[in-house]
Amino acid sequence: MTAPRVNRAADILAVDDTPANLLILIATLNAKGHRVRPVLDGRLALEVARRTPPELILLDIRMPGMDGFEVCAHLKEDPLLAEIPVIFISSSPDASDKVQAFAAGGVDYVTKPFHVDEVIARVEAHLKIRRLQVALDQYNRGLQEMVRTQVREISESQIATIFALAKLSESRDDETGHHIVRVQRYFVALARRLCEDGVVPEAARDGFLENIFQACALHDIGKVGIPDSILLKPGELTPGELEAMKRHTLIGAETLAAVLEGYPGNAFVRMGVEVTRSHHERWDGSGYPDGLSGEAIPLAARIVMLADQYDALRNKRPYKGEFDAERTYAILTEGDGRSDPRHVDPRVLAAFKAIRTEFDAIHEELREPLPGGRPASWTEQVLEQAQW
Amino acid sequence: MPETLLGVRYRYAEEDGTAIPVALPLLPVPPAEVLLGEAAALPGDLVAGLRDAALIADLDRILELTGLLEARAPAMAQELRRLAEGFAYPGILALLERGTAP
Repeated sequence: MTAPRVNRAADILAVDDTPANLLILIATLNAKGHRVRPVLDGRLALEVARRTPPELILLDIRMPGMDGFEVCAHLKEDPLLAEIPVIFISSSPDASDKVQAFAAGGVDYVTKPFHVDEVIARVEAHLKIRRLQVALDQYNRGLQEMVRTQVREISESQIATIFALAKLSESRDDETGHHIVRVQRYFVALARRLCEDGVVPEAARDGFLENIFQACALHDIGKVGIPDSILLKPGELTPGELEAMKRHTLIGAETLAAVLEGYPGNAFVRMGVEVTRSHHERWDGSGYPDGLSGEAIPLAARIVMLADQYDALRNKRPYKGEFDAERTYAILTEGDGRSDPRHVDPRVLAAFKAIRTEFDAIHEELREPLPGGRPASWTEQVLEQAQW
Repeated sequence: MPETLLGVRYRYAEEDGTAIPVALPLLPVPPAEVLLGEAAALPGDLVAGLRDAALIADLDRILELTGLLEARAPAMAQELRRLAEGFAYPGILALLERGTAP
């Protein structure tokens, strides 16, 4: 930190309706190298200060028109001028005037007729205090920015690492390897629409939604515990295999719950547990693993459920081919015997209907391998989309 | 304190309802037609500089720019100096306005 120059010349606004007093202040302060801008009345002083704020104001109290107390009150109301130190100068020795001067926001009080050495001493003391305050504020702002930058860098690197691990588990059963990115993009689109529709409370939109968005990348992390013979099996799963497959929700949630024990205050991991466990729950209670229904299913899981289903329909799986946009839309909104619109939160389904073309565009965009091909760039791309 | 040492005290205009007139230096005011003639011939950047300085009560700058006028517009310089030394910034602005009015 560079030491502030607390003794440099200052720009001082002197306000007094007696020209002789101004002449004394000019001579006194000019001799110390300060520039004095003398003004005879309060209203003009405010105009002048607003155009070019001075470093310090010497302010007479009793003036015709607007008195010093009123001038000071206006200064303190103006964010541009509020921090400028005001030293009152007055002939009144009354304690009540002095109290009122400090109450109005003055930092000091000089009694007229003033002694030049006293004026200089008080002016320079308050200039020094003010300059040190400014330097301290700048230093604090610099520190805050440095902390913010470092926290952001740490957060981004952690997210990129988590994303890479989730991607690694996903790569076992995803031909293009972009399932997570696409689900995140669908999630963002749906969440933004739900915010616009007022479904997501105003207070929950910032850090909360960002955590949910990051956490939704983890939804299938439990597949790492599913044998290849089941995960990659072409065709229908047997009832036993299906039960084993369903366990990916519990494996993922239990893994993250163990992490949560070490970091109980971490909202990201907490939401990761919710999404991982509940993204196969259905609105009508027919889902797994807990058979939750309606609002009992975490909102993020309800959103991921539809996003995940859309992606499964649009892309080839070991047990099915890929469906086009029209067929996928028809299945999700009308059902096909296996999928049913009653499985989906009606407000999430309404949001999907409203932005279906956005879903189709995301699918087309991410059909081919992503540029760069490294986890950080995927994360950056998805983060960019997440600016609600 | 003046009250205790001298038996006198400051008396302020608002106490008896009168306004304090601005005390301008007792210099003669140049004839209006001379002022107008000189003002009309002033360079635009000099007028702009004086105007900017008057708007922020920058007395030092006003006197500095006025010094540049002494040779080419002595009456204008005298009047600007008179107004500046009386801290009459609205008067300076009005003088410049009159001089540059079409």
